[in-house]
Amino acid sequence: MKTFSRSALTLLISLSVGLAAAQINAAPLTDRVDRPSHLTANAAQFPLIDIQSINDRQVMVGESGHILLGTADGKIKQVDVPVDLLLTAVHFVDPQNGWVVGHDGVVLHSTDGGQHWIKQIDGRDISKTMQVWAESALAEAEKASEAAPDDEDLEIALDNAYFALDDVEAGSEAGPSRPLLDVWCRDVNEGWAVGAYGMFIHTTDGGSTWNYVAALPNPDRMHLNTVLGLTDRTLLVGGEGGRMYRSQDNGQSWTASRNPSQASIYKILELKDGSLLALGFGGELLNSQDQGASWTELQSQTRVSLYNGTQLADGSVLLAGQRGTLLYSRDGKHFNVWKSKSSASWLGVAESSPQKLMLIGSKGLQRLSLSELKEQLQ
Amino acid sequence: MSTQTPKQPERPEHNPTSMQRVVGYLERALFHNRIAVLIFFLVASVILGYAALSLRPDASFTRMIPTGHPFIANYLKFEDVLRPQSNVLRVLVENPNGEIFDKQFMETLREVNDRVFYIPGVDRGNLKSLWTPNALWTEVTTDGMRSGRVIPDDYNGDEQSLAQVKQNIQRANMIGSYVANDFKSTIIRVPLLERDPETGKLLDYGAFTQELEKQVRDHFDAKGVKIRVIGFAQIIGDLLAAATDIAIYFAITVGLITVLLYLYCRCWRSTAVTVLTCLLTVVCQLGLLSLLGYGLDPYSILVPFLIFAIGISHAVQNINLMMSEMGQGATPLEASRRTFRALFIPGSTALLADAVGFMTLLVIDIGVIQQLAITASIGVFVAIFTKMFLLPVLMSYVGVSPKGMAQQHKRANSSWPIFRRVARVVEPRYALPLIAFSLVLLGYGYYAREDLKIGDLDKGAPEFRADSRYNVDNAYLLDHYTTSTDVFVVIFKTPQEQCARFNAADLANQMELNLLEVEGVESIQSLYKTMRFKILAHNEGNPKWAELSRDQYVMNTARVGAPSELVDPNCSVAPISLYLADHKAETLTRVVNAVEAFSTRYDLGDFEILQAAGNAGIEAATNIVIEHSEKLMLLLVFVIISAVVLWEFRSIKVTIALMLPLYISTVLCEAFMAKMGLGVKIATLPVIALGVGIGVDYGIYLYSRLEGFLNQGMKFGDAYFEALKTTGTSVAFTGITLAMGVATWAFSALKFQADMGLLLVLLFIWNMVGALLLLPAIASMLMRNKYPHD
Repeated sequence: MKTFSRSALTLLISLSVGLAAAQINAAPLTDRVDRPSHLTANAAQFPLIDIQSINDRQVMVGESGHILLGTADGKIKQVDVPVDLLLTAVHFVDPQNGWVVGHDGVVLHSTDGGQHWIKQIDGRDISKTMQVWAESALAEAEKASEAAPDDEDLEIALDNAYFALDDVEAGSEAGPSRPLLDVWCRDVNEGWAVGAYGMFIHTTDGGSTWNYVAALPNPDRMHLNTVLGLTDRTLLVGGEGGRMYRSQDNGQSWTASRNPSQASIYKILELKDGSLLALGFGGELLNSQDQGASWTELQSQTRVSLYNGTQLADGSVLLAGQRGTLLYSRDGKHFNVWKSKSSASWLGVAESSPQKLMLIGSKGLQRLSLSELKEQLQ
Repeated sequence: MSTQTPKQPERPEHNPTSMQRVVGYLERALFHNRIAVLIFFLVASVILGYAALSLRPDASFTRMIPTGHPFIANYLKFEDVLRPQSNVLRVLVENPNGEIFDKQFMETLREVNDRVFYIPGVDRGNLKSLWTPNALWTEVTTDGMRSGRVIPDDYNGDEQSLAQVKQNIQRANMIGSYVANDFKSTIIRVPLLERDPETGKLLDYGAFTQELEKQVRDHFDAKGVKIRVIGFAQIIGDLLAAATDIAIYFAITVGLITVLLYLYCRCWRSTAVTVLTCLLTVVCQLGLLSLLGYGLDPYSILVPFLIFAIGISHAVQNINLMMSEMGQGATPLEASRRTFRALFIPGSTALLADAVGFMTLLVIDIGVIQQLAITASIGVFVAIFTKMFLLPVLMSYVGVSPKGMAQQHKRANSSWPIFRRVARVVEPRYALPLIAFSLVLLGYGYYAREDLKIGDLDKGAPEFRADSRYNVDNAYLLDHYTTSTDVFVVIFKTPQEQCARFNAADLANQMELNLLEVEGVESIQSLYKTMRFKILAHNEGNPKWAELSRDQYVMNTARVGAPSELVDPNCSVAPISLYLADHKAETLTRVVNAVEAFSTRYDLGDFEILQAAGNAGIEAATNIVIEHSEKLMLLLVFVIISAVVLWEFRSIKVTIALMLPLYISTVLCEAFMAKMGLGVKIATLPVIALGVGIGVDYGIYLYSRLEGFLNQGMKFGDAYFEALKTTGTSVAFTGITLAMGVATWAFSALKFQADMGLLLVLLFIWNMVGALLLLPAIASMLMRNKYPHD
């Protein structure tokens, strides 16, 4: 009887502990910048946003914090990622070191070829950086304006500084709400990332600290969609409303490039012959022969948006776009439009081995050979 | 019983004299007033027969669903926003000559749309097709967002505007849901109002589908477009339309039974009386139903036949004994009175057992099953009167014809070679192996019924055969469209005006991701998916923006203009629709468990995750209710019927001998269902309960006869042989006759009737074999001390 009552008591205690534990377990859903992404068996069918080929491997990023690695033998592996939100761009500087950016100002870093990722910063950190910059910029502008009250330029600068501070505060009010949209790194130490509402950050210490880049003349705080460093060290940024910026002193100073169109630029590609392609909204396609100093419009033959592209091993160029559209060109200037049956958008192309393509987009990953593609889409 | 103390010997309380006094009193009352009895039944029959004429088939969505289940309570609470996904018809209009982008076809489609719109019962505000104003597209251009109607106001049917419509359909993302993947057909989504909002009258599904049939299907089929209709209302409509078929099968069965009855007794008088009283029972039952304000819904439609079958079983007992009495020289009146005296107690007990057996179906909280329980109980109640009072009185007038007497004489003088052998089952050397064998069968039954599934197992409507019009139409839809017809809706509830809060959206989105992992969930449609798309669209259509925003302004803008089936006007209920691969019970269980697991894993704060709506959600609730109540129902059936048997025979051992064979046949019936791939569902569940109710009759008659002989001091073997000669013959005859009658249902065009027929055949045969062989074997073994063999 005694043992019975004791075990009953033990049972009761363990039951109540179990109940309490169950209640403790039912915590609110962790914020998406702090919770790991799901591993799912069919991650390759979820939307994928960007792809990069590194030798014979590929790294793909997409919705819900999905990062997929493609191996030389054609396998796909989803890796653990510390955030659960839409990732927008990936850039590896060598087979080991790479960065991924995404919504809520998230920057992820890997030093082992994408197998493991740590979060370096998120929008909360960026907001702080930008707040500090905007406050000091305002203080400076106020001082300058007080010193020379009649200077109209200083007046405008002061207005801009007020607007910038307002905007930074508005942007951080709801938490880290602004997405980073692209990332490009020169080496393991130095890199740039751009994003919504003129967000532009720079690191020189491998991502341990990121600073706000204020030198870009973007007072309207338009979205910056893409950043690219050319082989001659020129830096280019493309953005909303056809804005194009160029820096030849490693980002110290920036000038706006002349762009004949106002359509948003989503991506800039450097081809092997040194010429540049910029692609964007509504079939916008621009060419530059002078490292982005000036741009001329090309006939894209389409009105759908173009998001990304790649130059294949044989020198031909393949661009990916909205509603199943692909643009193919042998010379990088004259393009043919191919439409796939599905209306899902294509967001990127990679050549896994000569003539073997990996297409990513809003329906995930699809593999095709170039000849299949030509047959199917012409 | 209640005053009985445990120490008393076995049957002291059972006072045969008091019982006999009641029976004797009844007998005198009945046979001294035969004319009055006949007049009473005549008047009752005329009144009830007249009432029966106004009995209408009826069906209702709410009666098909377990309204007490929390899922359904949730559904009913938010019915207005959930209806378009739940009680909905899909009218598919196919152009047999090619794509739908054809001036002529589009005109016809508009006519179909208008005709459907005006059929009473249609929820007109939520009707959606290419032609309705709620079919909208949106697109992003350099100048911002544009939107418009799929068929624009300036549509004129020329090449150009048809191309425009095609483009709009793509922009509206309607391919695979409203327009077939091959562009050869399009769907009109027709939500139904169960209750007319103005008059409050319930929708008459029979009338509604007939109207649809006439106004739309026939009319437009003649005009060269193919119409297909899928949905709950169509299933019910087709079932109701098949009521005539069901009735024809009943008629065939009744005819067959009559012929067999005549061949057996060779007496047209008793055959006529039997069939007449049985039919009268059914007529009176239907009349009572009508007077009580009930209709006859498709799932209760087999009850009248069951009542007929039960009637036959009792009448045969009566006639058989009567013949035997008359064979010994009694006059019809004397024979009738003796039969009454002998059969009144076992007969009434058996019918009472049937009635309470059927009543146990009331524990299942599904309207149609409860109605079936009431319908069947009323039938048995009527049967007590017709079988116990009317039949003996009628027989006392007509007697048995000379031809029948000759047959009886022949039979009485035969050597009964088969029954002589059958009677040997009471000897231990046969009884023990037989009992062992049946226990092995029971074990096998337990093993096999592990596979027994709850709910539907096949695609489409399992009530119909795979090649029925409904299932062909359903298969066509599944083949040509992406979104399936099996929709499970999870109700995501937030405080008012907070459905578009980032936290709400993030939580719902997280749940969607979890549910997409569940096997059988093919795709998900929700407010949040639409909002994501809207946010992307507001950002030039750039997919890098396809993410929910923490910025409340962005979220509110994204919510504006969301279709009414995705969110209620108060922004507090957002149905999340899961499109499933099928509606098998396992699939539904997986979904229910996954939703449950998700909502308990997190502290949801102000938000609630509620199950469930959509046809699949409602079916999940039905399955849960059936699964929970199936065991309870069987337990109740057995406990209650055992109690009745115990009360009648005052012996645990007799009760075991009677109930064990029934239990085995129930288990074997379930095992058979598992093997045949028949799920336990609204259509099959009652059969099991009814089977037990019908089976117990055999045992009660047989054992009361056997007991009579045993109490006269006969040895067990001889007593059983004597019991077999009269009662056994009736049991064997009834079992075989009813089984043969029901076997014809296998040819029914309705799979649901064929399945029920098959199960009933098995139950009739097994119960008969169990009563004739197993019952005496068990009884003789259990009571070898009381009734020695030698």
